Amino acid sequence: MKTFLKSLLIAAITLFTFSCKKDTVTPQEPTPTPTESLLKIGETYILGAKAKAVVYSDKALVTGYNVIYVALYDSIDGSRLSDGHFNVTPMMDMGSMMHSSPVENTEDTITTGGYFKTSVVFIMPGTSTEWSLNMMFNNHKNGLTGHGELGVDVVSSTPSKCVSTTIALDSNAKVFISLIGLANPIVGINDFEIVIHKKLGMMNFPAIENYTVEIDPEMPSMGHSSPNNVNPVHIGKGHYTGEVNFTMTGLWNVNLKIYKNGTLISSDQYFEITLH
Amino acid sequence: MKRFLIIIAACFFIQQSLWSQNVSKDSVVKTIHLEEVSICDESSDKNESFSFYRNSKLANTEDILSRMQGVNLIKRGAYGLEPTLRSFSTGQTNLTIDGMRMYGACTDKMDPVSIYIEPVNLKSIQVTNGAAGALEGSTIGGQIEMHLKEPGLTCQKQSSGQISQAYSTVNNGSNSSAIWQQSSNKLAYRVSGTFRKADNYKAGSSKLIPNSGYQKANTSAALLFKVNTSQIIKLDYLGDWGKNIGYPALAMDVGTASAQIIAFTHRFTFSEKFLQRNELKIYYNDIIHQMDDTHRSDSPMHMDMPGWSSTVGFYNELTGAKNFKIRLDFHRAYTRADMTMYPVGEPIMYMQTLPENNINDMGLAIGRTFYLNKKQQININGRLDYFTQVAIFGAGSKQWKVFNTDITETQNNLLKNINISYVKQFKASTHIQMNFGYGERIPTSNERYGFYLFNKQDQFDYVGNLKLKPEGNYQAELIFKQQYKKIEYSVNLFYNHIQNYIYAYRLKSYSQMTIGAFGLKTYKNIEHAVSEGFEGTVKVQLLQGFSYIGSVKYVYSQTYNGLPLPLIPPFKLQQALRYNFKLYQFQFEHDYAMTQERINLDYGDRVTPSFHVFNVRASKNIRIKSSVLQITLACENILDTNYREHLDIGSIPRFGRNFLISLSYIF
Ligand SMILES: [Cu+2]
Repeated sequence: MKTFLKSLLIAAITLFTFSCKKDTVTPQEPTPTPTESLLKIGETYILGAKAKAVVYSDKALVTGYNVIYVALYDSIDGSRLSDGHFNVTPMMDMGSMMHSSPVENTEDTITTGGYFKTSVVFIMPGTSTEWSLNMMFNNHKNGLTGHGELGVDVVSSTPSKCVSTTIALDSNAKVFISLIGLANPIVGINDFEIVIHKKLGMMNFPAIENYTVEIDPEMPSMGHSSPNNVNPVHIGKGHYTGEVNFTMTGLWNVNLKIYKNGTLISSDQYFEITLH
Repeated sequence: MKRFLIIIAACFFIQQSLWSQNVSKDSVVKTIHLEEVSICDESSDKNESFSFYRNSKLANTEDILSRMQGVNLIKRGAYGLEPTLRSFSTGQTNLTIDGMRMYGACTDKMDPVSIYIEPVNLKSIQVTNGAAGALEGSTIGGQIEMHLKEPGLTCQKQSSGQISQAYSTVNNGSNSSAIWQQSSNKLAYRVSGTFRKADNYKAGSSKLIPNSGYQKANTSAALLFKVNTSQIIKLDYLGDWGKNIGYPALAMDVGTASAQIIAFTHRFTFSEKFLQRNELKIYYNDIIHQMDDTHRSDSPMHMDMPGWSSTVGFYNELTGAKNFKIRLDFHRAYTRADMTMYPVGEPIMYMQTLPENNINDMGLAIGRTFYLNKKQQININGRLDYFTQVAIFGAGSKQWKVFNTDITETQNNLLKNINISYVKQFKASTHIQMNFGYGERIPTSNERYGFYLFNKQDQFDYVGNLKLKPEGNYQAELIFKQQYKKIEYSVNLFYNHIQNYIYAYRLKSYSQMTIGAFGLKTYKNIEHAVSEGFEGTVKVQLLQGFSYIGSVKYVYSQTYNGLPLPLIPPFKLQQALRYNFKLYQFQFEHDYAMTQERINLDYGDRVTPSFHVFNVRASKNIRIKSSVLQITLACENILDTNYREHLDIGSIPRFGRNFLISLSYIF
């Protein structure tokens, strides 16, 4: 790992100096080195595009919302690739059937900080023989398009960062609500963000943008709430942001009330948050 | 013997303003003043009447307080009763020990400062109502100042002491105390200690009150050194340790509590005509209060609520002729209270119920008397205080963010107090005094920074309000006194108009924190509130050896829109008949309170029925050479009445029939 990082660092520096000399069009691109906080998930060749993808995340992949950072390299000279169309399709192979899960692929054709950033909502846990990230890359360097597949382990997030429910009042829609952030909640005010997806088929998980969400944090062992929470409002692509307040440490449940067109359609879902 | 009676009687009614003391013929006050100024005082502990009264007749400081004019006590347990003055409670009044400021470490007010004073180290209690009591600190209600006993210098080397042991049946309570003192013309010291232990007590009709026992130890030491004819240096230490103190009216008890007080005093006596004395005192006190629910079977989960308080300060007081007084003082206090709960199988829950905060206060007070002629005088005293109150950045201030409030923002308040009194003496026997005053007080830390503090009385959690304004009280008082050879009486009428009165109201749609609480409340300044009432006392010398003392007190109060204020005591009568014969004394007491129906429902006040309670006491002094053995027997609540006073939180009944015996050996 260390030697890998070292070589990456060297590669990055050379790339940086190289790009500086040759191409001053993208001087804003920072050092494309995985920072210490990123964890390597795995790597695979993107066959057909003469590229190799190295997948990072800020932590091991869990059920719920995960942000993955993909660095692409020229499989011949090892140089970093920053230009192209890239997307990921998560796939679950359950033997008898296969299904995907919600994913947010970047529309950028240029890497940010050296990475293509993709968010995946894993809707169930699985091993690397079950879950895989199917990656497609259209390499602008050589104009080639290829595919690669990386098996990944997905463990259950405890407490769960993704809840799912079938909402009878919304045409029996199977809905996935994922918590984003809030990894280190504090006593006081916290940003609160969720993303809501719906299952329209094995391979189709669109974002839901027309719900209204109310939150009510509660300490289950005491039965009390907290004041002045800001209900999440939709900001785009199924993301809803607000503020959640905690008045003390301990175990909290952030209860969710979901409305559609003014009708309460779900009120039994919640996220467990522990403050130490 | 007559002198003895007068002192006893007066002790019952140590009272009045600083000013009225100076003009009245109140013999006990005279005695105390004599003690203070005399350089070669014969040890005051040798004064049998004082010792008798303190150590045998009434078991603790609270019993003494409860019989003082204008004082009522809020009771939460058998221990730690909170004195109120004409219905003004902690925060609205100043309760001090030798002029030192102290803040309770308990957010539930379990620890009023009076608990640190035991009869063996109490010299006197001085009650001053309203702004007349603002010489030592801004106040709207007045001041209760307790003076610690101090060793007196004596012309000849001498030592004295006292050992006492008391027992009471109602709570299997024992009270042991000892005093030792040595003095010479240069150096004197005094040490005293008390140990008290009591089990759960029985209310009337033998009903046992769970969680009402307590244990405590108290020690005090004072060293006095005469530097030269004009200078004296004094060092004081007081330590108090409580253990397993039950508060049946509250949800929690005290596991352990400790208080340490140290003080350095320098006194300079001038030989000039106008200037009399300068006193400088530097002091520090520290309180640790560990509240928990270990002994409560009904608690849903284990909970600890420790609290801390420490105050450092000084004052310099210069006194001169014509009651001239100028005083400069400063104090800085730190308070904090935490709550930690331990749910089974879940992470601990922690909160700062009183976020760490500091109060700084710089004050300047001036007073003097103008003699218009032989029979008329005007006394004026005024005080300015500059307060800053600020929460310290940390867990507590972060919690407050949920209310979008930055409590680390400093709150500054300039408080103004003034009192003018006019005194007129008609003939030798009649005395009229009129007081007009204005006083202010800052909101307490609880009222500004409290975070979900549970109030058992109304079952609501309380959060503070940073933006509270100080309360201001316009007050007027009329005192009429007549003294004849065998009878003397006084009547006090008072009126208080409190502006920006701090009143609790419900925050609708906000959640409580405490399990079982009904919701959340906070404070606001309401337009005004009014409190008025009267006090009266009669002292009569009946036949030879018989004397009678009776006193009444009454307060009527309401908000600007006609709601009765919370915790207002009803009309109360306390009377005692004494018979002294040689070294015997017999005393019969009767206490009566009317029913209180003027209650504040928002606050959870309940109607309190009227009651009569009768007590009887007998004592005898036996001389053994130069020592005295005192034996006291008493039966309190003879009829075993099941009763409570209106200011008893949680409607917990008071002591049932109680037999007491005490032995004191004074040598
Ligand atoms: Cu307490």
